[in-house]
Amino acid sequence: MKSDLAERIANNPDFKELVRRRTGYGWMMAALMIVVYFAFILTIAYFPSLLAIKITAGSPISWGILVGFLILVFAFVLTGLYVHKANTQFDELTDKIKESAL
Amino acid sequence: MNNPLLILAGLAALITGVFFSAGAFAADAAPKSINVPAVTMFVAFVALTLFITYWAAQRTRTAKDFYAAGGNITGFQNGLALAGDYMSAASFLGIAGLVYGNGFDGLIYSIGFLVGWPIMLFLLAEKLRNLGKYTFADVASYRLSQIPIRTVAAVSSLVVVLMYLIAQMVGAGKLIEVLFGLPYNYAVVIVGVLMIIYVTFGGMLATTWVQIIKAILLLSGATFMALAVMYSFGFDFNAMFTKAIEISPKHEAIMAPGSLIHDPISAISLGLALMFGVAGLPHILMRFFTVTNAKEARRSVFVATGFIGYFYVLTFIIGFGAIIMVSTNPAYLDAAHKLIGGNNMAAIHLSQAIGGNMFLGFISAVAFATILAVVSGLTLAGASAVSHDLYASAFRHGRVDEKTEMRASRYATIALGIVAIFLGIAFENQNIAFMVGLAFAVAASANFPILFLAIYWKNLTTRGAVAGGLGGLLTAVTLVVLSKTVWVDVFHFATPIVPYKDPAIFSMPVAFLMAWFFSITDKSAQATEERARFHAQYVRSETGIGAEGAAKH
Repeated sequence: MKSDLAERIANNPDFKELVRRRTGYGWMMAALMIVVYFAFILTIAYFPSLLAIKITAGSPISWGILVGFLILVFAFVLTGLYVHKANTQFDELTDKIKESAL
Repeated sequence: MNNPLLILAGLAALITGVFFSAGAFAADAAPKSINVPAVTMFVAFVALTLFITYWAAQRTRTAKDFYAAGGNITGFQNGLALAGDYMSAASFLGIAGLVYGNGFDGLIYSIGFLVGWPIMLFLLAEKLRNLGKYTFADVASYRLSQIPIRTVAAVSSLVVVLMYLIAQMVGAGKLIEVLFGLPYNYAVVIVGVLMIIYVTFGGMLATTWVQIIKAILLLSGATFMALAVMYSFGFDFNAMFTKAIEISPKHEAIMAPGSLIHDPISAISLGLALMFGVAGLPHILMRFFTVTNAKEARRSVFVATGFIGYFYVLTFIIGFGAIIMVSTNPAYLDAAHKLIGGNNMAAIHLSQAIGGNMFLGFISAVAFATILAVVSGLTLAGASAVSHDLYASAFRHGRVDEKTEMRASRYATIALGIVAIFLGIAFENQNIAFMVGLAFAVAASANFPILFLAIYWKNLTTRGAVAGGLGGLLTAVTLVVLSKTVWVDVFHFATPIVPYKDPAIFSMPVAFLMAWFFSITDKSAQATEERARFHAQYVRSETGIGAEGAAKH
């Protein structure tokens, strides 16, 4: 990319807006995934007995199994939310930037 | 290579011949007869994939075709192919076996293998697609010095690929020995020859479709098994778990964390390697260059995450199903009441319990297809590191025409395939449990830090990236060699020098710290230029303006 073009795009307020919003959103989602996963791993390491507790009295299902499944679902939902937002809002901004730059 | 159809037909005949003659031989030698439905379905799969390879070979003319399937794969197709590339026979049979033996602990691994995907999407996928061409080293070396960065990236990629490949080859040999009654060495050679054919002739296009077909077969087979298990309990999870707790010798313990994770350091270290390793696996990263733009790259991660997550739910149900339907059936147990063939055979035995020999044959063929798809992706990634990064860019300084580079990549594929066959045979009786773990640790400690810093950190210089990459690679390998898994289990020393099995908690910080230190202290003129080039890279990474393939529209 030629540096004057890069300069022009970088100074475009839409570009600044795109980067600010997408970076913030992406890092927030990554942080959520990291916190949830390591909270799970650390619970297994330090308090395994917590995860052995049954979800209701008499149920064979433990919190460990339920939480484990919810983390699988959580990972999928997070990617879905991100892709939805990126494919609509972020791409709209990107297209605007491209139009005004090229 | 003038007449690929003839060559393919000849090889297909050869493989079929080997199969049936070896099967006949095995039938003579052992009372256990050859599994006819399994072999038939496997031969059908091979015939179909060879046909696809022939079709793909005619469409593989340029380097872009060979490395990136012309960049024309859709997001959905790539998502399936990513899932097919990632869901190895080890994760199917291994995790089902782990659940069979330990219950809940198997789920810990499944979760670890999945959580790296969202991280890759949020931090790397789009930027990777916007900056790269064929390999992740394209991205890492975008504004840095080509030769040193590509050399380091290629070396750590080859370490990852070879570790993974050896694990798959040995697994394949043992599995096929049990499933098809075929001698170990024959099985390794068949897998090696087939993957060489797919990749050499059909490049990324054939590899992609082999992975897509395999993903569909594996997901359908696993879905059917999980449904059959659930059906027998009237789709009542409570009933299924209650029965499993009653039957399992560990009883209630299968619903809670067991012995898999003992100390917090190991737990965090394994978690780090799994979470950040996915974003450093060269065969996975390479797939992002097969789609047209960043939007399709994103979509493919979403599709892959969905299918892989769904697959892990299925393996969990399959593991529990095996506790109930397999562990009490004497037909599947040896004299010591252990599962015939070990716990990794739990899913295979369950398929027989559910659908008889016909379905056992199907699942066996699917397991074989799974291995083929994974090793093909690995071989292509390894060959690209050799031909695109080492040969064309580092050795010939980019002054090489496309024809020569493609020829180099085909030679590299054949060489890598032969090396894999020999290593597969050499490691037959070695303890290889550490290899996939090491592959993830190196991916997280060498490839991921270089890629991440090259994209995000303006001040990274060539010197810093080389120091960080090598530091991460050497630390990870050294720590694994000195740990119990190699020092005691392979070299048979009495006690390990390093008490932790997983190195990532040490090797990842080493990589980042070294990259940081050797970058900020780099005052050379070249370093100043590299920092100055960050701005243009940053704009392209965020917008995709100037990206490969985008110019055509």
